[in-house]
Amino acid sequence: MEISIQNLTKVYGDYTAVNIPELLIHSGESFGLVGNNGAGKTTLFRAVIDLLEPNTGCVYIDGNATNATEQWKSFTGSYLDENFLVGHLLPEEYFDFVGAIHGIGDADIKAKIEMLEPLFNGEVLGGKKLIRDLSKGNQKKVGIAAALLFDPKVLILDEPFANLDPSTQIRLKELLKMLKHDRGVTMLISSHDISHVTEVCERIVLLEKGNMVKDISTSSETLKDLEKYFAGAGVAESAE
Amino acid sequence: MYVLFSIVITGMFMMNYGQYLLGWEGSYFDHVLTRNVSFKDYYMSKFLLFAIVGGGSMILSIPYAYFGWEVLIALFCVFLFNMGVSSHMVMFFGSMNPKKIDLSQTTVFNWQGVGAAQFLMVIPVLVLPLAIFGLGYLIWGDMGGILFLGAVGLLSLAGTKYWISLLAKWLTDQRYNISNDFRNQ
Repeated sequence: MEISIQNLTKVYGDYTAVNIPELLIHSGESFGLVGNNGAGKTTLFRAVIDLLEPNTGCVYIDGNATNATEQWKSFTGSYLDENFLVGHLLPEEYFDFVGAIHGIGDADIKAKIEMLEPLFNGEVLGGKKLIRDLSKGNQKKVGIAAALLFDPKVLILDEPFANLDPSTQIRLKELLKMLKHDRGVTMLISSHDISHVTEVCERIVLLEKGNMVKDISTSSETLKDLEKYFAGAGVAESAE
Repeated sequence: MYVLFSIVITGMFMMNYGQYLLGWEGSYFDHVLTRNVSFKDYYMSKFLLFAIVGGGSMILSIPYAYFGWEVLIALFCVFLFNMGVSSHMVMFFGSMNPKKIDLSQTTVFNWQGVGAAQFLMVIPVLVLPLAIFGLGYLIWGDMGGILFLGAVGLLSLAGTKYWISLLAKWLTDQRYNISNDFRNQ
Protein backbone atom coordinates (compact mmCIF):
# COMPACT_ATOMS: atom_id res chain seq x y z
CA MET A 1 0.00 0.00 0.00
CA GLU A 2 1.59 3.13 -1.23
CA ILE A 3 1.10 6.34 0.69
CA SER A 4 1.40 9.55 -1.22
CA ILE A 5 1.34 12.99 0.34
CA GLN A 6 0.74 15.83 -2.10
CA ASN A 7 1.26 19.49 -1.41
CA LEU A 8 0.17 19.17 2.22
CA THR A 9 0.13 22.26 4.41
CA LYS A 10 -1.41 22.97 7.79
CA VAL A 11 -1.28 26.48 9.14
CA TYR A 12 -2.32 27.66 12.60
CA GLY A 13 -2.49 31.44 12.46
CA ASP A 14 0.96 32.55 11.31
CA TYR A 15 2.53 29.29 12.27
CA THR A 16 3.04 26.63 9.62
CA ALA A 17 2.77 23.27 11.36
CA VAL A 18 3.28 21.10 8.29
CA ASN A 19 4.47 21.95 4.81
CA ILE A 20 5.23 18.96 2.62
CA PRO A 21 5.18 19.53 -1.16
CA GLU A 22 5.55 15.87 -2.01
CA LEU A 23 6.32 12.67 -0.17
CA LEU A 24 5.93 9.15 -1.47
CA ILE A 25 6.12 6.21 0.89
CA HIS A 26 6.47 3.00 -1.07
CA SER A 27 4.53 -0.13 -0.38
CA GLY A 28 6.24 -2.22 2.30
CA GLU A 29 8.55 0.57 3.35
CA SER A 30 9.25 1.21 7.00
CA PHE A 31 9.24 4.95 7.27
CA GLY A 32 10.53 6.80 10.29
CA LEU A 33 9.76 10.39 11.18
CA VAL A 34 12.03 12.22 13.59
CA GLY A 35 12.08 15.76 14.83
CA ASN A 36 11.96 17.87 17.96
CA ASN A 37 8.78 18.86 19.73
CA GLY A 38 6.57 21.00 17.51
CA ALA A 39 8.19 19.71 14.33
CA GLY A 40 4.79 18.61 13.06
CA LYS A 41 5.06 14.84 13.41
CA THR A 42 1.70 14.26 15.05
CA THR A 43 0.01 16.88 12.87
CA LEU A 44 1.30 15.08 9.78
CA PHE A 45 0.05 11.71 11.05
CA ARG A 46 -3.35 13.18 11.93
CA ALA A 47 -3.60 14.58 8.41
CA VAL A 48 -2.68 11.19 6.96
CA ILE A 49 -5.50 9.39 8.77
CA ASP A 50 -8.00 12.18 8.18
CA LEU A 51 -8.37 13.47 11.73
CA LEU A 52 -7.41 16.97 10.74
CA GLU A 53 -8.28 19.18 7.84
CA PRO A 54 -5.19 20.36 5.99
CA ASN A 55 -5.21 23.88 4.53
CA THR A 56 -4.08 22.54 1.19
CA GLY A 57 -3.20 19.19 -0.23
CA CYS A 58 -4.26 15.64 0.18
CA VAL A 59 -3.04 12.24 1.32
CA TYR A 60 -3.60 9.14 -0.78
CA ILE A 61 -3.35 5.59 0.50
CA ASP A 62 -3.23 3.10 -2.34
CA GLY A 63 -4.40 5.83 -4.72
CA ASN A 64 -7.49 6.78 -2.70
CA ALA A 65 -7.71 10.11 -0.94
CA THR A 66 -8.09 9.50 2.79
CA ASN A 67 -10.44 12.45 3.22
CA ALA A 68 -12.88 11.33 0.54
CA THR A 69 -12.93 7.53 0.77
CA GLU A 70 -13.28 4.99 3.55
CA GLN A 71 -11.73 1.78 2.20
CA TRP A 72 -8.37 2.64 3.70
CA LYS A 73 -9.85 2.36 7.18
CA SER A 74 -10.25 -1.39 6.79
CA PHE A 75 -6.52 -2.02 6.33
CA THR A 76 -4.91 0.86 8.21
CA GLY A 77 -4.02 0.32 11.84
CA SER A 78 -3.15 3.42 13.77
CA TYR A 79 -2.41 4.51 17.29
CA LEU A 80 -1.55 8.12 18.00
CA ASP A 81 -2.74 8.81 21.54
CA GLU A 82 -5.25 7.87 24.23
CA ASN A 83 -8.11 9.24 22.11
CA PHE A 84 -7.97 5.88 20.34
CA LEU A 85 -8.73 3.91 23.50
CA VAL A 86 -12.14 3.23 24.99
CA GLY A 87 -11.27 3.92 28.60
CA HIS A 88 -14.23 2.28 30.28
CA LEU A 89 -13.56 -1.17 28.80
CA LEU A 90 -11.22 -3.92 29.90
CA PRO A 91 -8.36 -4.49 27.44
CA GLU A 92 -9.92 -7.81 26.36
CA GLU A 93 -13.30 -6.14 25.77
CA TYR A 94 -11.63 -3.44 23.72
CA PHE A 95 -9.87 -6.04 21.56
CA ASP A 96 -13.17 -7.86 21.03
CA PHE A 97 -14.79 -4.56 20.07
CA VAL A 98 -12.09 -3.63 17.57
CA GLY A 99 -12.08 -7.17 16.22
CA ALA A 100 -15.84 -7.15 15.78
CA ILE A 101 -15.71 -3.85 13.90
CA HIS A 102 -13.21 -5.37 11.50
CA GLY A 103 -15.20 -8.57 11.20
CA ILE A 104 -12.73 -10.88 12.91
CA GLY A 105 -14.04 -13.93 14.75
CA ASP A 106 -13.46 -14.54 18.46
CA ALA A 107 -11.05 -17.41 17.84
CA ASP A 108 -8.91 -15.29 15.54
CA ILE A 109 -8.82 -12.46 18.06
CA LYS A 110 -7.67 -14.90 20.74
CA ALA A 111 -4.92 -16.25 18.49
CA LYS A 112 -3.80 -12.72 17.64
CA ILE A 113 -3.67 -11.66 21.26
CA GLU A 114 -1.67 -14.76 22.12
CA MET A 115 0.79 -13.78 19.43
CA LEU A 116 1.05 -10.28 20.92
CA GLU A 117 1.30 -11.59 24.48
CA PRO A 118 5.09 -10.96 24.76
CA LEU A 119 4.34 -7.27 24.28
CA PHE A 120 2.15 -7.21 27.38
CA ASN A 121 4.71 -8.94 29.54
CA GLY A 122 1.94 -10.62 31.54
CA GLU A 123 0.73 -7.33 32.96
CA VAL A 124 -2.26 -6.18 30.97
CA LEU A 125 -4.33 -9.23 30.17
CA GLY A 126 -6.50 -11.13 32.61
CA GLY A 127 -6.47 -8.27 35.08
CA LYS A 128 -9.49 -6.39 36.34
CA LYS A 129 -8.16 -2.96 35.49
CA LEU A 130 -10.03 -0.84 33.00
CA ILE A 131 -7.99 0.74 30.25
CA ARG A 132 -8.30 4.20 31.82
CA ASP A 133 -6.72 2.87 35.04
CA LEU A 134 -3.70 1.38 33.30
CA SER A 135 -0.36 3.14 33.30
CA LYS A 136 0.61 5.21 30.26
CA GLY A 137 2.95 2.51 29.04
CA ASN A 138 0.36 -0.23 29.35
CA GLN A 139 -2.23 1.94 27.62
CA LYS A 140 0.19 2.34 24.76
CA LYS A 141 0.66 -1.43 24.57
CA VAL A 142 -3.11 -1.91 24.35
CA GLY A 143 -3.36 0.72 21.62
CA ILE A 144 -0.54 -0.77 19.56
CA ALA A 145 -1.98 -4.26 19.96
CA ALA A 146 -5.41 -3.04 18.81
CA ALA A 147 -3.80 -1.42 15.76
CA LEU A 148 -2.17 -4.76 14.91
CA LEU A 149 -5.21 -6.88 15.67
CA PHE A 150 -6.71 -7.00 12.19
CA ASP A 151 -3.51 -7.61 10.19
CA PRO A 152 -3.25 -4.08 8.84
CA LYS A 153 -1.38 -3.43 5.63
CA VAL A 154 -0.54 0.08 6.77
CA LEU A 155 0.57 0.78 10.31
CA ILE A 156 0.79 4.29 11.74
CA LEU A 157 2.27 4.71 15.21
CA ASP A 158 3.10 7.97 16.94
CA GLU A 159 5.89 7.68 19.48
CA PRO A 160 5.45 3.94 20.01
CA PHE A 161 8.58 3.64 22.14
CA ALA A 162 7.86 6.45 24.59
CA ASN A 163 6.72 5.34 28.07
CA LEU A 164 7.50 1.69 27.35
CA ASP A 165 9.76 -0.34 29.58
CA PRO A 166 13.07 -1.46 28.02
CA SER A 167 12.10 -5.10 27.48
CA THR A 168 8.88 -4.11 25.75
CA GLN A 169 10.78 -1.63 23.58
CA ILE A 170 13.04 -4.45 22.42
CA ARG A 171 10.10 -6.81 21.83
CA LEU A 172 8.20 -4.14 19.93
CA LYS A 173 11.20 -3.55 17.70
CA GLU A 174 11.42 -7.28 16.97
CA LEU A 175 7.72 -7.38 16.23
CA LEU A 176 7.84 -4.42 13.87
CA LYS A 177 10.81 -5.88 11.99
CA MET A 178 8.97 -9.18 11.73
CA LEU A 179 5.86 -7.44 10.35
CA LYS A 180 7.92 -5.66 7.75
CA HIS A 181 9.80 -8.75 6.57
CA ASP A 182 7.05 -11.37 6.77
CA ARG A 183 3.95 -9.36 5.94
CA GLY A 184 5.26 -6.41 3.97
CA VAL A 185 3.43 -3.95 6.20
CA THR A 186 3.93 -0.30 5.25
CA MET A 187 4.89 1.47 8.45
CA LEU A 188 4.92 5.09 9.51
CA ILE A 189 6.60 5.53 12.85
CA SER A 190 7.51 8.74 14.59
CA SER A 191 9.89 8.90 17.48
CA HIS A 192 11.97 11.20 19.62
CA ASP A 193 14.29 8.30 20.20
CA ILE A 194 16.53 8.26 17.15
CA SER A 195 18.35 5.06 18.09
CA HIS A 196 15.11 3.03 18.10
CA VAL A 197 13.81 4.52 14.92
CA THR A 198 17.05 4.03 13.00
CA GLU A 199 17.00 0.40 14.10
CA VAL A 200 13.48 -0.27 12.83
CA CYS A 201 13.11 2.00 9.80
CA GLU A 202 14.84 1.78 6.47
CA ARG A 203 14.04 5.35 5.56
CA ILE A 204 14.07 8.34 7.84
CA VAL A 205 12.72 11.80 7.27
CA LEU A 206 13.68 14.62 9.53
CA LEU A 207 11.08 17.29 10.14
CA GLU A 208 11.87 20.76 11.35
CA LYS A 209 9.09 23.29 11.85
CA GLY A 210 6.91 21.37 9.45
CA ASN A 211 9.46 21.13 6.67
CA MET A 212 11.31 18.06 5.50
CA VAL A 213 14.97 18.79 6.22
CA LYS A 214 16.47 15.39 5.49
CA ASP A 215 15.33 12.28 3.70
CA ILE A 216 17.79 9.45 4.17
CA SER A 217 17.96 5.70 3.75
CA THR A 218 19.20 4.17 6.94
CA SER A 219 22.80 3.03 7.04
CA SER A 220 25.34 2.50 9.76
CA GLU A 221 26.16 6.22 9.58
CA THR A 222 22.59 7.42 10.00
CA LEU A 223 22.48 7.43 13.77
CA LYS A 224 25.67 9.49 14.00
CA ASP A 225 24.37 11.87 11.35
CA LEU A 226 21.13 12.41 13.21
CA GLU A 227 22.86 12.81 16.55
CA LYS A 228 25.07 15.44 15.05
CA TYR A 229 22.07 17.26 13.62
CA PHE A 230 20.13 17.26 16.87
CA ALA A 231 23.16 18.33 18.90
CA GLY A 232 23.67 21.15 16.39
CA ALA A 233 20.04 22.19 16.46
CA GLY A 234 20.16 22.36 20.25
CA VAL A 235 23.25 24.56 20.14
CA ALA A 236 21.80 26.84 17.49
CA GLU A 237 18.60 27.33 19.46
CA SER A 238 20.31 28.14 22.72
CA ALA A 239 22.56 30.63 20.93
CA GLU A 240 19.58 32.57 19.59
CA MET B 1 -53.54 12.93 28.48
CA TYR B 2 -52.10 9.64 27.34
CA VAL B 3 -49.94 11.37 24.73
CA LEU B 4 -47.63 13.17 27.14
CA PHE B 5 -47.37 10.01 29.22
CA SER B 6 -46.45 8.00 26.12
CA ILE B 7 -43.86 10.53 24.96
CA VAL B 8 -42.08 10.24 28.27
CA ILE B 9 -42.32 6.44 28.45
CA THR B 10 -41.09 5.67 24.95
CA GLY B 11 -38.78 8.64 24.59
CA MET B 12 -37.10 8.95 27.98
CA PHE B 13 -34.02 6.96 27.10
CA MET B 14 -33.76 8.63 23.72
CA MET B 15 -33.82 12.11 25.25
CA ASN B 16 -31.37 11.16 27.98
CA TYR B 17 -28.84 9.39 25.85
CA GLY B 18 -29.43 11.34 22.66
CA GLN B 19 -28.79 14.81 24.02
CA TYR B 20 -25.09 13.92 24.39
CA LEU B 21 -25.07 11.62 21.39
CA LEU B 22 -21.45 12.15 20.37
CA GLY B 23 -20.32 13.31 23.79
CA TRP B 24 -20.47 9.78 25.19
CA GLU B 25 -17.76 8.88 22.71
CA GLY B 26 -15.96 12.18 23.13
CA SER B 27 -12.98 10.75 24.95
CA TYR B 28 -12.31 8.27 22.15
CA PHE B 29 -13.67 10.03 19.11
CA ASP B 30 -10.47 9.44 17.12
CA HIS B 31 -11.14 5.74 17.58
CA VAL B 32 -14.63 6.23 16.14
CA LEU B 33 -13.30 8.16 13.16
CA THR B 34 -10.49 5.81 12.18
CA ARG B 35 -12.38 2.50 12.39
CA ASN B 36 -14.06 1.26 9.26
CA VAL B 37 -17.57 2.14 10.33
CA SER B 38 -19.33 4.53 7.99
CA PHE B 39 -21.15 7.47 9.52
CA LYS B 40 -24.38 6.02 8.15
CA ASP B 41 -23.86 2.81 10.09
CA TYR B 42 -22.84 4.87 13.08
CA TYR B 43 -26.10 6.83 13.14
CA MET B 44 -28.11 3.76 12.20
CA SER B 45 -26.75 1.92 15.24
CA LYS B 46 -27.78 4.83 17.45
CA PHE B 47 -31.21 4.76 15.86
CA LEU B 48 -31.55 1.02 16.49
CA LEU B 49 -30.51 1.55 20.10
CA PHE B 50 -33.33 4.10 20.49
CA ALA B 51 -35.75 1.71 18.81
CA ILE B 52 -34.81 -1.26 20.99
CA VAL B 53 -34.91 0.62 24.29
CA GLY B 54 -38.01 2.64 23.32
CA GLY B 55 -39.77 -0.48 22.05
CA GLY B 56 -38.82 -2.36 25.21
CA SER B 57 -40.22 0.44 27.38
CA MET B 58 -43.40 0.33 25.35
CA ILE B 59 -43.81 -3.41 25.85
CA LEU B 60 -43.12 -3.10 29.57
CA SER B 61 -45.85 -0.44 29.76
CA ILE B 62 -48.54 -2.73 28.32
CA PRO B 63 -50.05 -3.35 31.80
CA TYR B 64 -51.14 0.30 31.75
CA ALA B 65 -53.94 -0.98 29.48
CA TYR B 66 -55.68 -1.49 32.83
CA PHE B 67 -56.61 2.20 32.52
CA GLY B 68 -58.22 1.63 29.13
CA TRP B 69 -57.21 0.23 25.77
CA GLU B 70 -56.60 3.75 24.41
CA VAL B 71 -53.32 3.68 26.32
CA LEU B 72 -52.02 0.94 24.06
CA ILE B 73 -52.86 2.84 20.92
CA ALA B 74 -51.37 6.03 22.29
CA LEU B 75 -48.18 4.21 23.32
CA PHE B 76 -47.81 2.64 19.90
CA CYS B 77 -48.58 5.78 17.91
CA VAL B 78 -46.27 7.93 20.00
CA PHE B 79 -43.57 5.30 19.68
CA LEU B 80 -43.92 5.51 15.90
CA PHE B 81 -43.65 9.27 16.06
CA ASN B 82 -40.65 9.15 18.38
CA MET B 83 -38.84 6.78 16.07
CA GLY B 84 -39.87 8.47 12.87
CA VAL B 85 -39.42 12.12 13.76
CA SER B 86 -38.07 12.82 17.24
CA SER B 87 -35.17 10.36 17.05
CA HIS B 88 -33.68 12.16 14.07
CA MET B 89 -34.15 15.54 15.70
CA VAL B 90 -32.51 14.28 18.87
CA MET B 91 -29.61 12.84 16.89
CA PHE B 92 -29.16 16.11 15.04
CA PHE B 93 -29.31 18.35 18.09
CA GLY B 94 -27.20 15.88 20.06
CA SER B 95 -24.49 16.08 17.41
CA MET B 96 -24.39 19.85 17.42
CA ASN B 97 -21.52 21.26 19.34
CA PRO B 98 -21.15 18.27 21.58
CA LYS B 99 -19.47 18.25 24.95
CA LYS B 100 -17.22 15.47 26.02
CA ILE B 101 -18.64 13.29 28.79
CA ASP B 102 -15.98 11.84 31.04
CA LEU B 103 -17.37 8.46 32.04
CA SER B 104 -14.84 7.96 34.81
CA GLN B 105 -16.44 10.60 37.02
CA THR B 106 -18.75 9.83 39.90
CA THR B 107 -22.47 9.47 39.25
CA VAL B 108 -23.36 11.66 42.23
CA PHE B 109 -24.11 15.29 41.34
CA ASN B 110 -22.62 14.81 37.93
CA TRP B 111 -23.67 17.80 35.87
CA GLN B 112 -21.33 17.20 32.96
CA GLY B 113 -22.58 18.53 29.70
CA VAL B 114 -25.69 20.10 31.21
CA GLY B 115 -26.36 23.47 29.69
CA ALA B 116 -29.12 25.67 28.32
CA ALA B 117 -28.87 23.95 24.93
CA GLN B 118 -29.83 20.63 26.49
CA PHE B 119 -32.99 22.12 27.97
CA LEU B 120 -33.85 23.86 24.73
CA MET B 121 -33.53 20.58 22.87
CA VAL B 122 -36.34 19.05 24.88
CA ILE B 123 -38.75 21.66 23.50
CA PRO B 124 -39.04 20.36 19.93
CA VAL B 125 -39.05 16.79 21.18
CA LEU B 126 -41.94 17.44 23.59
CA VAL B 127 -43.75 20.29 21.90
CA LEU B 128 -43.79 19.04 18.32
CA PRO B 129 -45.70 15.80 19.00
CA LEU B 130 -48.11 17.68 21.25
CA ALA B 131 -48.69 20.26 18.52
CA ILE B 132 -49.33 17.58 15.90
CA PHE B 133 -51.61 15.74 18.29
CA GLY B 134 -53.41 19.01 19.00
CA LEU B 135 -53.95 19.61 15.31
CA GLY B 136 -55.44 16.14 14.85
CA TYR B 137 -57.46 16.58 18.03
CA LEU B 138 -59.07 19.78 16.74
CA ILE B 139 -60.10 18.07 13.50
CA TRP B 140 -60.97 14.51 14.51
CA GLY B 141 -61.07 14.47 18.29
CA ASP B 142 -58.99 12.57 20.84
CA MET B 143 -58.45 9.26 19.11
CA GLY B 144 -58.10 10.96 15.74
CA GLY B 145 -55.26 13.08 17.13
CA ILE B 146 -53.43 10.03 18.40
CA LEU B 147 -53.80 8.18 15.10
CA PHE B 148 -52.75 11.29 13.18
CA LEU B 149 -49.58 11.45 15.29
CA GLY B 150 -48.90 7.79 14.52
CA ALA B 151 -49.49 8.33 10.81
CA VAL B 152 -47.05 11.24 10.65
CA GLY B 153 -44.51 9.09 12.50
CA LEU B 154 -45.02 6.18 10.15
CA LEU B 155 -44.64 8.40 7.11
CA SER B 156 -41.36 9.82 8.41
CA LEU B 157 -40.22 6.36 9.50
CA ALA B 158 -40.39 5.28 5.87
CA GLY B 159 -37.75 7.92 5.15
CA THR B 160 -35.38 6.76 7.89
CA LYS B 161 -32.58 5.96 5.44
CA TYR B 162 -32.81 9.42 3.96
CA TRP B 163 -32.74 11.16 7.34
CA ILE B 164 -29.77 9.03 8.39
CA SER B 165 -27.92 9.88 5.20
CA LEU B 166 -28.48 13.59 5.90
CA LEU B 167 -27.08 13.16 9.40
CA ALA B 168 -24.10 11.22 8.04
CA LYS B 169 -23.43 13.94 5.50
CA TRP B 170 -23.59 16.56 8.21
CA LEU B 171 -21.11 14.63 10.37
CA THR B 172 -18.82 14.15 7.37
CA ASP B 173 -18.70 17.93 6.96
CA GLN B 174 -18.24 18.60 10.67
CA ARG B 175 -15.92 15.78 11.66
CA TYR B 176 -12.75 17.89 11.85
CA ASN B 177 -14.37 20.54 14.03
CA ILE B 178 -15.96 18.00 16.33
CA SER B 179 -12.86 15.86 16.81
CA ASN B 180 -10.76 18.98 17.32
CA ASP B 181 -13.19 20.26 19.96
CA PHE B 182 -13.14 16.94 21.79
CA ARG B 183 -9.35 16.85 21.70
CA ASN B 184 -9.12 20.31 23.26
CA GLN B 185 -11.77 19.84 25.96
